[in-house]
Amino acid sequence: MTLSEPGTAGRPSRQRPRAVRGLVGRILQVREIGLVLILLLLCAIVTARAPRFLEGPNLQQVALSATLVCIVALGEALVIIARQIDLSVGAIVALSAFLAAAWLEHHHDGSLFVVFLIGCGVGTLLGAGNALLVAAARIPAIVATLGTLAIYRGLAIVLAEGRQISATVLPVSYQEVAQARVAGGPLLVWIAMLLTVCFGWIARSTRFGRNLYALGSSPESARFAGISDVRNIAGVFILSGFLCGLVGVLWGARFGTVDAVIARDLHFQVISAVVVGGVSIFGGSGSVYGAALGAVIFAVLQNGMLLLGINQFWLEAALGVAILGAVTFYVFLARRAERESRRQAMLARGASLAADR
Amino acid sequence: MRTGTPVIELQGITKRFGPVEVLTDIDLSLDAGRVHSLAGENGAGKSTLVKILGGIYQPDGGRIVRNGEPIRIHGAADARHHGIAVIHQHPALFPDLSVAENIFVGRQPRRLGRVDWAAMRQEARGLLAGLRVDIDVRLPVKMLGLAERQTIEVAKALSLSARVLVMDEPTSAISKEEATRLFEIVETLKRQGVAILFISHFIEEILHLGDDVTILRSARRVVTAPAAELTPESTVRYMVGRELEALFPKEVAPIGQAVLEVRHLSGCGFVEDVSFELRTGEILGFFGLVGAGRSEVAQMLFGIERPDGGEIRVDGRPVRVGSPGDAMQLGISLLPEDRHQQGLVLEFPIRANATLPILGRFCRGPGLVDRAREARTAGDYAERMRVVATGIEQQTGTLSGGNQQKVLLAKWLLPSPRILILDQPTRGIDVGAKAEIHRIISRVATQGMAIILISDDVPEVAGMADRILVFRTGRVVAEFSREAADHEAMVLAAAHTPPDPDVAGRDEG
Repeated sequence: MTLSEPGTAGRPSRQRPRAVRGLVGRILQVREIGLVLILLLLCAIVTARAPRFLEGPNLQQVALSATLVCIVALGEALVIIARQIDLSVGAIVALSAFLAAAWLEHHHDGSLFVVFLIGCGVGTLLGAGNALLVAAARIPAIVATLGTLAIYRGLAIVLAEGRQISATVLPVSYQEVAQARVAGGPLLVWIAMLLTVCFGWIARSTRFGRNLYALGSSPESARFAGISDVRNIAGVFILSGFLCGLVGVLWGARFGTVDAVIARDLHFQVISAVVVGGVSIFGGSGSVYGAALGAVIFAVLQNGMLLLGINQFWLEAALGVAILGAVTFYVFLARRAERESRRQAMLARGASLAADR
Repeated sequence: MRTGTPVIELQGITKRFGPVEVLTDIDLSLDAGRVHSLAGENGAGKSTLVKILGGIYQPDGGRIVRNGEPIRIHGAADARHHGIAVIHQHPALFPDLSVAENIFVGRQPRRLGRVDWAAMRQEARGLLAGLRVDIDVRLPVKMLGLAERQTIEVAKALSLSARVLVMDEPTSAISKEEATRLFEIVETLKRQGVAILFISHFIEEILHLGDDVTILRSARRVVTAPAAELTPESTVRYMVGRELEALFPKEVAPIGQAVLEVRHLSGCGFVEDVSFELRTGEILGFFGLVGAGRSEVAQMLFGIERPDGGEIRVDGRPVRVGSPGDAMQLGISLLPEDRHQQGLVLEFPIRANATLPILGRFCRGPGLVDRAREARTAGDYAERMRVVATGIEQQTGTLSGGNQQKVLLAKWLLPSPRILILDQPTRGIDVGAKAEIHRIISRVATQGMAIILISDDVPEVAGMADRILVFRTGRVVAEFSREAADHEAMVLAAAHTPPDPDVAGRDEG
């Protein structure tokens, strides 16, 4: 359309930008910077009491335990941004890990490529199951994935018949995936970082990502803008399933042993990481990078408490405190922002009424 | 209490929002056993008055007198304490609780510490019987219609021994039969000595039900008179006033051939047999009261709602509009009525809101958005719409209403529609922004866009539209050409049902 406007060729009218007060204000605005600072602070505290924390093998341990949670958290973050939730992630990891390992057990010199294909394929398929229930049958995600959590886990248990597939029957090449190092770091960590960047890009720079944010913050506006909720919500569950399948394969490689009950509490860890990473549980805001940082923060917390010799029983409670602390802080931020926008809306209302008179 | 004694009197009530007076020096007396009707156009101050009586707003000047003593009403609970109950158009009841529980919520009769269900139901039945209505008190409220829910609100108010009942547009969303039943309840309440403030857009109701009528216009009380002394015509004249505005810079646009033809369209439960034709360069006004079916027609044209019958033709070809995506393919844009819920994603920056429907156009490869091109286009449109902001990355929710509306307009002009439907494009925004939006609408019409303009604002429709359709209860009841568009005639057509021979005899009020 051509909208020729003689005489309005100037710049858009400008309001003075609201001054952001000091460094603290700026950090509050970019959540990820705050998270990095918290992470560094955490590392400093742990190192001060237990210098062992900074030693190579320990750091590598932390990084490896963060990676698997991190990769699943990337998908979960997108799901939660779209105002949905996926509780079945741990079950998908278990089932795809088990099926991939079972194939390897019988094809000892089978190609690793096929293993990944099986793992990711199974994950994608199970994700599609969630998609069908949530997007097509319109069952609320929390109920649908609670159901599939049980079904997928049950399926894994039935197929495994209570047995373990252990390192002794799996080819060495499979386990080498987890031990391989590239450019001085573990391959797994590189994969996680690459995926984080990739998903950050999907969320920020693709149409699909934009649609997810729109659906998460205002489903009705999204509908009026012609965004298909069925297609996008289905897409996000399938993507989450795919990542879980990938993690299933990596899980087997890292731990060497696969049975039906691995990744039992993974959904709790993943959702915690996502929420601590600043993704709003009500959808529409937060970032994939935040979720990844959340996963790292959790890994450091866990490792740090171990190093400091804190009773294992306290660990769970401390993680709970971390979650509640983070969420309370975000709620505080959100409320502050809301007060501000309500104040502005009130002023605008006054002005518009004034103008109507 | 004797009929006619004032229960609540408002004396010189004034209310300001910032620099604006939304109520100026209002006097109003609510008398025992009498119905006082309150009328006025949108924005005249009716709902502010209701909120003051309900304790939601505090007046900035004047006083409220109850039984001769000045009182202050601090919040809804305090209003109840003073015997004032407000019946809203859409009562806020608990859908899953039973009728009896809803009436007694928070104060259930108890025996030995547990809820005495039998006594509660018994009392609820008694209350409803007193209103001469027959509703099973054990039914969950979600099974009931809107009119019955209002009745339950009334019963609840009575059980709280309300002496003043404020009914805020109770009839605008219910059927004629239901309204008749509601009026019977009002008669019963009158006999019990309740003072009633009745607010409605429908002129025959105002005059038929009210003993006294007060008419507000632009925050002021223009008249209070016994209903018998008013006619529909004089009522409209008081509501509308004499001011004629020439605010609207409508440019002359050449009107071409028909792009959109709608024949016998029906749907959404009450829209029936709507037919019209829209031509290039034409602005077609849809005027009517809220709930008259205008937005529903717009939403059927845009694929949000499915029509039950009728035909839509674009360029002479019959089309099926199954989704907003289909509508956009056909070159239709809809600027929806509720800019917060339906129009904008308030968390998004201006840029992302403006480009949301057409994001595909900026995509390369696997759906990758070309940010630079997107920002250029959005910035370009924001500039043309004269959006006042720190830049296109400012969060949309922090803009003023007028600027949000300009972003919304940019959003729906960006797809380059051939048919643009605007649902209340200037509601609640300041005069400056309003004038700019009118200027833009007028400009795109001269470029050949076909426009439907839905509005409650008579001067706006009369000033902008080439032709005006008036809607009432889901039908088109009148059509005016630009030259013949008479302010009072339009309001009368939208708000007044010409006397029906069957009902005309009914005259007990």
